[in-house]
Amino acid sequence: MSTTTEFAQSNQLQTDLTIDRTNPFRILVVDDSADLRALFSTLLKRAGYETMSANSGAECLRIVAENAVDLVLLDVILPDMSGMEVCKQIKSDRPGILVLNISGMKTSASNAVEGLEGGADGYITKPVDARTLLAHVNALLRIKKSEEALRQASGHFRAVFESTVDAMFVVDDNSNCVDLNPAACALFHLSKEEMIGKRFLDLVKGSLDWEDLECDWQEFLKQGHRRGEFMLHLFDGSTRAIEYDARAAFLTDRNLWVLRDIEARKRAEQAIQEAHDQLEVKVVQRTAELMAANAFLKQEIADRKRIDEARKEAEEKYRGIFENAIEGIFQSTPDGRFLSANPALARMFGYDSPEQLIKDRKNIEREHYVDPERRKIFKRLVEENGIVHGFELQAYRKDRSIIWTSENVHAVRDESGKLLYYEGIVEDVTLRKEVEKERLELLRRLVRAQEDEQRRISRELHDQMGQSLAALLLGLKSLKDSVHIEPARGQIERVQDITTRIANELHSLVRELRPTALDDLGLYTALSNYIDEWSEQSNIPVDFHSNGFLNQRLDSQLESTVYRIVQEALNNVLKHAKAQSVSIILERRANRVSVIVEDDGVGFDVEELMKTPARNRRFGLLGMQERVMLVGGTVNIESTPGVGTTVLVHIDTSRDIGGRTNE
Amino acid sequence: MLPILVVADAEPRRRLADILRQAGYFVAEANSGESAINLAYSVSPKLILMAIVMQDSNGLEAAAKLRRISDFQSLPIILLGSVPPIGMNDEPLASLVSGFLNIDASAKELLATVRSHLPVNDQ
Repeated sequence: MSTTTEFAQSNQLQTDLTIDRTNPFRILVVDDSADLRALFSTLLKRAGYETMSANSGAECLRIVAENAVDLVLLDVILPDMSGMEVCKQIKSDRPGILVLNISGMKTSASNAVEGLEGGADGYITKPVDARTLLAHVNALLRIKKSEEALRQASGHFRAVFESTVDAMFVVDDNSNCVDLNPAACALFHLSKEEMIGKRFLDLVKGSLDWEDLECDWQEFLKQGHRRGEFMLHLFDGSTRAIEYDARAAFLTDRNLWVLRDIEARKRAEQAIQEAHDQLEVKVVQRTAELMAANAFLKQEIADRKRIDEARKEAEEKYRGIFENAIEGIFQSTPDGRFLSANPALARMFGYDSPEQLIKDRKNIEREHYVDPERRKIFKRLVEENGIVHGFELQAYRKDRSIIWTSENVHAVRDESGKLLYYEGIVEDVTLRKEVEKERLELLRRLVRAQEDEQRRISRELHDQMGQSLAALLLGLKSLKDSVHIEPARGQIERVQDITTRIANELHSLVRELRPTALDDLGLYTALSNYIDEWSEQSNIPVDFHSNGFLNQRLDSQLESTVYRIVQEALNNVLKHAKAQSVSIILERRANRVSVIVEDDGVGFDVEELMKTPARNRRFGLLGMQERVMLVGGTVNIESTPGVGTTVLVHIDTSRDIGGRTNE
Repeated sequence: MLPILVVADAEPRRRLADILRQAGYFVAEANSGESAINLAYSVSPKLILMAIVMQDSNGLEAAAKLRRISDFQSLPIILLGSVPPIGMNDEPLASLVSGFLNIDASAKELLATVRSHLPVNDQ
């Protein structure tokens, strides 16, 4: 059979039809001829289709109603119904089923059209050759398959469309919204119904940053694609950052707009930027702080270095002074140990090295001071004044010989005021002391010699001249008594007067030189007499008080010193003071004699006077001081210009005058 | 009443000074180390908040200068900065400053720090 061969040849067509379909298409063959039904069924089965068959219109409709059929191969001429009726019925009941009409060979074009108008999807004419049949069936089913795939795809698309978080708008070329998804509703806070039919451009008007919406819209339709970002201004006044991706004409008259809300992302970006900026600021700030700290530390290090160098330099200088000084330099503790000593100090005390000295003298008070009491006085003076100048003491050398030293010492204290140690400079003044002692001895001898000489002259004057004058006066008296010639008597009386005056002057002279009363009657009586006479002569009242001198004799040198001081002081009053009155107090108490001579005269500046060279001094201050010094006393002169002058003399009588030293 | 002296550039200084004033403190302000020293002489503050970095001066150097003046030897000085300087607890910084406070510190932190550095009877 030629047809069979042709069918066999068509096998190749089946392949691309069955692919991708789990179930083969099912085809219902409807023909009143059993032969043709069998032929078609065999043909279709060999092409990979499932087949069913029906011999009438009624059976066809029953099978279609009860079974899933994809395509009906329908003979338009059936015994019970017209093919067009069956077709209409199938299309109305099951519109998805394809209908392929098979018409008789003589079927007119009007029949074919009638069949198509009944809803048939295609027709072929008898006699049917296998190729034509399969080509038609395949073509129709290919379309169905495509549609199915499309429907499936569209279902997928829909699912994505409905559930995506991006807002999607399907709009026509006029920008009217045709479809949109729930995300779009959520973004715009509008319902689907409110937006469908509205122009999409109206929804984004004022937000989309296109220059001219309508022009750009046409441009977009031409270009087919646009993307970008804009700030969406919503009807409630809020804004959202939006990224959009628009595709034109994905279908005819259909354009897709996808809007993505990137507000959160923008915020995150901004937050990151801010954090970054802040970090940068922090880094800048921190860097500045580090630089400040570095600058400070550098400065500090430089300062410290400078101070350190200055300190080192000072130390070296001190070290140099310490090592090379002629004076002894030391540090010693309050409990009497040397902390340090320089070579000069060691030499001064007969040691080979400072170390030896420090090692040897563990108790300065006992091992160093000849008179331990002196140490106590030293400590007290430092405690009171913080510093002592020219403190003199006798100290033992290593060989127990004694030297005189003079010290300048100050106390070193910590911040709380606690005494840490003494620091001082020592000078060996033994030689000076000896010279001084010698000088004083000479002075003392001189004074004594002078006193002795004065006493001798005074005695001589008093004893011999005084006696002679007394005798002369007596002679003159008896001469006058024996002469009765008046002019001669007058002459004698004048000689008597002269002689009396001479006797008085002699008396004065004797008293000035050396009052015999001082040797004979004692200091108090001699002074009393002298003061009375002085007062009478100068016409200045003197207030004289004494205490402890009645019937008490002192060392003769001391007595004459006191007498001379009063004499000198009164001389000064007479010569310079222009005083109205003078007060003298003489007092003896235990081992101390005090003399105070006070006047209310013009006074003077003591310091100024002491500064002037001795030879220019107005009166015997120096004499007074030397005399007092010889008997181990002190003189203080206080004078205020316009107020008066006070001379204070204190003499310690407990000491042996001969061995007295200046301290 | 003795003031708290805040020494820093204008921006952080005003904020800190405002917080302190609202808390009832008497506050004096200076914008450089030099003016801080001058001001300290005239108002004798009971506490100084000193920025490490200022436009015109170095807070640490200013603190060191203050410390050398006998009147301010025991005056509490709190440093203001972003991070405590390295070696804050060692010399020479340790004797220089009494504490550190972040210059962006909250009002609460600021007041707590200030309170902890004031004499007990002055709080």
